[in-house]
Amino acid sequence: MGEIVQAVVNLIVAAGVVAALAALPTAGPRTAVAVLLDFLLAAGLLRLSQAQTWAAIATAALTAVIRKIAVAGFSVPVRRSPPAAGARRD
Amino acid sequence: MPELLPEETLREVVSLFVRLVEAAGALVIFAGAAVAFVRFLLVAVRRREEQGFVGVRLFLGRFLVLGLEFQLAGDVLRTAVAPSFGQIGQLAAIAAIRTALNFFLGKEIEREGRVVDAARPPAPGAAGGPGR
Repeated sequence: MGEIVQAVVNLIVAAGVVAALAALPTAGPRTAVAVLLDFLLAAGLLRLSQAQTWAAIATAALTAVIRKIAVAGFSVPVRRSPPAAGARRD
Repeated sequence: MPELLPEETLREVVSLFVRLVEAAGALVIFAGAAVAFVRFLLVAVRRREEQGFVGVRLFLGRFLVLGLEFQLAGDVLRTAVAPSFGQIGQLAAIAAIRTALNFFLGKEIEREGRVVDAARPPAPGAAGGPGR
């Protein structure tokens, strides 16, 4: 059972990488990373079902937190700094 | 006097249910990821617009939430037969992780759904109609 789950997890990760690369030219890096993280989350959920030790559980939790922070970081709108005083626009 | 329902039998039955429910959750997650992957490729090849990708992300997110619900159901079932404090602690940690992920996924789906709704052009007859 564990080997099947591991194979499925690898498959989902590969699918995520391909889908993110497909999204990159059209939708930009923000959406591409969000797509990749969605697939990685799916893989993490499957891997969590096999977690039997405290170390595995902590790893799964930490990974989920890091991914959430990454998604939140990409969701923050980028503020452009105002042009410097006296700067000329052609 | 013979036992009506021996504890060992109960443990085996619950363990079987847990496996079935968790397998269903894993199947839902895998099916969602597989279908979403195909839809991502179709959007990339045919439509080539960002809103299409957001729509497929919403689709995948709903499947992940559904799979998480199944896995949480398995956790609840497992509490019936968790014999040691260590196992209960691990179960609580896993359930907490899944519940938190479920919560944040739900929030994300809600937010992205609003974005998709806002980007959608209004229906032809809805322009002059009364607001809700």
